[in-house]
Amino acid sequence: MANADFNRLMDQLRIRLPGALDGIIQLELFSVMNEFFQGSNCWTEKIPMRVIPTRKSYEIVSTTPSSMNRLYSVETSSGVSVAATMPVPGTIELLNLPSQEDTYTVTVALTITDPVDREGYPEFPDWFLNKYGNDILDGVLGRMMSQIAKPYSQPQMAQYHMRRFVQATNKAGVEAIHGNVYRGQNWRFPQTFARRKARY
Amino acid sequence: MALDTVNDYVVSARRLLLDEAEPYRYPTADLVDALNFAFLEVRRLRPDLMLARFRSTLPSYSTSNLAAAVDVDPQYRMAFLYFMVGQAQLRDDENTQDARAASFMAKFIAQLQTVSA
Repeated sequence: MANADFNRLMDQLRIRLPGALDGIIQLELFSVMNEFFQGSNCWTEKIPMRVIPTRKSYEIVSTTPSSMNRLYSVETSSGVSVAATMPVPGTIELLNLPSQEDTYTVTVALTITDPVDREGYPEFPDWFLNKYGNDILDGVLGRMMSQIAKPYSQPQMAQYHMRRFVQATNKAGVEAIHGNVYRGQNWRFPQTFARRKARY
Repeated sequence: MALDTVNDYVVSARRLLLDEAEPYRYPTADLVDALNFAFLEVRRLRPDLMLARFRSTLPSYSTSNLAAAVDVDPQYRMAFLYFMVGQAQLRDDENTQDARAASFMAKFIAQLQTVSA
């Protein structure tokens, strides 16, 4: 069921797009959110993956209704980075055979996918619309206004909104890299190099 | 809600056509046909209004079931009505009626494609 953020977003879109049908707004909303998630990698999930020394290829499954978009990292249980690729979403190919049985942590970037819920909205994390609702609004307005021969066709405004949307997508990507830390960074050296445990 | 069924459209069209007393000048079958033609035109001009019918045929109504619900978004029901009236008046050969028919047809298109119509 649509939450308050979604209802607010839809109301804003209905007001700004006279003559638009809800079904068409939802269609464009799906495209915009897919583009946003694919462009920013702001939705990630850590998935445990049991490995054995005789296999290089593994299937992983997300716990949320989503589609895997990019492989972020693969780490051993001790936090050491492992070289791997994801030639097909959901299939992890290790570059080298694991030296021992272990549970690796695979971090993947996700994007929305079908099925959508009963009301036709895609499923995604609750925090997302609260943080990026206005950016999604720009994306949907841009795409809707770029359609031809509609009451809400506005090529110039479409360019304006799409420019804002692209900027927002890039900004969300940077924030994701920094782990939403203000002037901070998300990476750290592998802990095997640490001479003593960091205190937080 | 206004303009829910085929009959609602026919009655409203007759009002605009000044054809409310029997015997009717415009047969009910013609008006229902005009409603069906409206769907063909809307599919061309505003395919998004027919989103739910991309994988099926367009609706086709008949006089045998005037109580049938007409599946049109409330925002565009008046446009369908204007098309019906314009289509009905296209068959008249008087100059005044031609202008009126053209006016309804133009209003139909404008309502589909602009905000201010």
